Amino acid sequence: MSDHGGHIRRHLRELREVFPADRVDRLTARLRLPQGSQGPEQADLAYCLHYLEGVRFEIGEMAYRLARVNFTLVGCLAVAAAYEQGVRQAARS
Amino acid sequence: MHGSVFTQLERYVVAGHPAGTWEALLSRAGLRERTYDPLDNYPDEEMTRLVDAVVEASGASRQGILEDFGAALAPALLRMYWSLVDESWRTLDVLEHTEANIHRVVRLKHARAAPPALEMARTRPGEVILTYRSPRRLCALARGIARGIAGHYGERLEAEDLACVHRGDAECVIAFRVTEEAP
Repeated sequence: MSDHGGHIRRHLRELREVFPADRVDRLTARLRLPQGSQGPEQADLAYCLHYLEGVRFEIGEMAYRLARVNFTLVGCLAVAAAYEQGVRQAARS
Repeated sequence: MHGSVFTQLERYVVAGHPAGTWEALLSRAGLRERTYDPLDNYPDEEMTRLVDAVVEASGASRQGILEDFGAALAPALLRMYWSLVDESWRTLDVLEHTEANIHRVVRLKHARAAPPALEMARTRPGEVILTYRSPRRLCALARGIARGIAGHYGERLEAEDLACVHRGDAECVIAFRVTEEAP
């Protein structure tokens, strides 16, 4: 099972290497993480999508696209897509 | 070739040079107004033309330019594709896993990117032997990338060319040895 929280924490570390601290701090604030937090201890699929939306809004489109690629590679988004499809099907039934 | 290599070539070229350098290079390569998306793929031939233009403009050797660019490219690729690199890995681990973990996934996700097929053998502690076979003949880029990975991890890497297509051999074989941590 994919460690979504671990992937988000690692991605935050990678972002901090490249982007100004205030932009990454805005992202963590948007995610309602405590100040100085390294990221969520645990995360579910919906949180992964919420996180990626935050990356898009606070960091930018290219960072979001790269994050999507990486999250897909580690297995977060393939599962998330199935989850979203399941939610849509449940809503229709 | 993957677009990330093109966008990093642009960064490499413009670093320390005046505005307009990249545009001038594109023009010299017959690629005026061309833009590159780091998540798309582009013809190998365009990279050849761009590298030729850099060589012409700089007067430096092609092999030297490729190796230097490779060293600059590697840390960027490690950051961009962090999910493919285990956080516990160091230089030789990344080299050892490049084909099985990184290039294999790149081929699955980006069918047109076509990274070179590499054979990596961890022959003994502290050494990886790379066998490089590619019609691109970019062994110097591979050597530079290895150097850049070592720089990223603060390690010192020696590269010994055991065979090279540019010396008439059928393939390139390079022994990489981590000698010590860089100061």
